[in-house]
Formats: sequence, C-alpha cells, structure tokens
Amino acid sequence: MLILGADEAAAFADALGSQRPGWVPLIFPARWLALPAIRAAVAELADLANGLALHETQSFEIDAPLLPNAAYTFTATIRRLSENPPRLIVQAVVATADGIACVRFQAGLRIVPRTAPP
Amino acid sequence: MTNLPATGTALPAWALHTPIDAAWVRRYAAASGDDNPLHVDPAIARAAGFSGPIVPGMMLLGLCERAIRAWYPDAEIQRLAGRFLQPVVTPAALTLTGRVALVNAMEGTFILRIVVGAPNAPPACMADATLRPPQIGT
Repeated sequence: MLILGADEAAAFADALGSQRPGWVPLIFPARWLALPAIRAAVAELADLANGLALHETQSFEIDAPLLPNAAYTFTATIRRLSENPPRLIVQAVVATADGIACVRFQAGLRIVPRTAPP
Repeated sequence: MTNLPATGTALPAWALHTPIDAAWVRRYAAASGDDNPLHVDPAIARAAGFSGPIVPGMMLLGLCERAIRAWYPDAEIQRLAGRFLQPVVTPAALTLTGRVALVNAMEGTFILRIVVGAPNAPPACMADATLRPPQIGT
C-alpha cells in the first residue's frame, strides 16, 4: 500500500510550475515507476545497461482523481513489445485500498542505444 | 444540461512564463523520480545522438494538464493521451495550443487536441484530452 504524500504531490506540482494548493497532478503515479522493484524490472527488460529509454506514447484513464494522504495500490505490468527497434509497454493501475481502480495508464518506450550510430 | 463547446473552438495559446531549462528538468526529475540520464546528463544525451538533454515526455503531458486547467478549470479530465513526436532539447520555450476536436453531446464530453511546441518548430507533442464540463443548473 502506498500513501500519496501531500508533500510529494506539492513538490511534483511545483516541479510542473504550479503552486495550486492541494493539486495532485494527473501524472503523479509516474512517480511510482521509480519504486525499486518496478525500476529493476524496467531496467532488465529494457537492457538499460546498454540502452536508454525514450518515451514515445503515454495515456492516462481517470476514473477518480487521486487525493493527498489517501492510500493506494499500484500494480504495473511491463512487457517487451518488439525487438527491432526494441520497445516496451508499461501498463499500471492505481486502485484504492478497497480495490477500486482510479487511474490506469500506459507508457510506450523505445530503447535507443547509448551510443548513436555514426 | 452541459456546457459543451463547439467543435473547432480554438483556445488561446498557453505559453510557459520561462523556458524549460536544465535546472527545471532536474527539479522535475527529483520530484518524479525519473532520473533517466537522457534528461539530466548532457554527455550521455549527446552520445545518444541528441544535441543536449531532452525534456521528459511525461513532463510535457503534465504541462498539458496545466494548460487544460487554465482553459477549463472546472472540467473533469477523463482521459489524457499523448504522443511525443520530436525530442525537446533544453532550454526550450514552449507554447501549448488547444482546439476542440470532437464533441459528444450524448456523453456530455468533448475531446480537446493539444499541440506542444516551440515557435517555428515541428510539434513536439500532440495530446488528446477527454473532458466533461460541469453540468449547468444542478
């Protein structure tokens, strides 16, 4: 279970240039992609030792807005979509403690080599 | 009854007050946990073929939400989806424009198409937002 910290949300909003009080940016769940288990899974599937992830597409479906200081679960599925060029899809669901989905999102990533071809 | 705009309605351009520079991207990276070196490390970004660190796509989508909140402060955002068409190298002065692409009177929603880009440059991001305006008279 994750608590959506009000301070974290405020810092995220500030980093988008907004000082609107109490605003939880719609993209806030992206922060949870940095959780160690998810980060490790992406790094392995994307082979980030040899490549870099370039964001190509992103979608959010919002059933209910996320609230500061509320508890949520965050479930992510990561899969390799293609090999040449290598692409990954990350799908995630944010749900309340009761299991009611609030936000679903999908990120499309292309893996580019760390050294561009000459 | 809902207060739906007409298809084709163009919104006033929404420009960032300051360009997105390296410091701003680092602040976003710290807040979001996105420490992808393409966004924060000039040497790695250049080695990968970019002319400098690039603005995170997710950050562009976050700015789209800010523009939506400026254009339609009370609308409910049901969906926001974007495609990142061109890398945006920092520093970048960006403007967001919006146009009502489709109105669904049955659902009481409309789709707003947002284009993010620098002046005289190809679009960096195109996003569609499905919005539901507040009902009138309730």
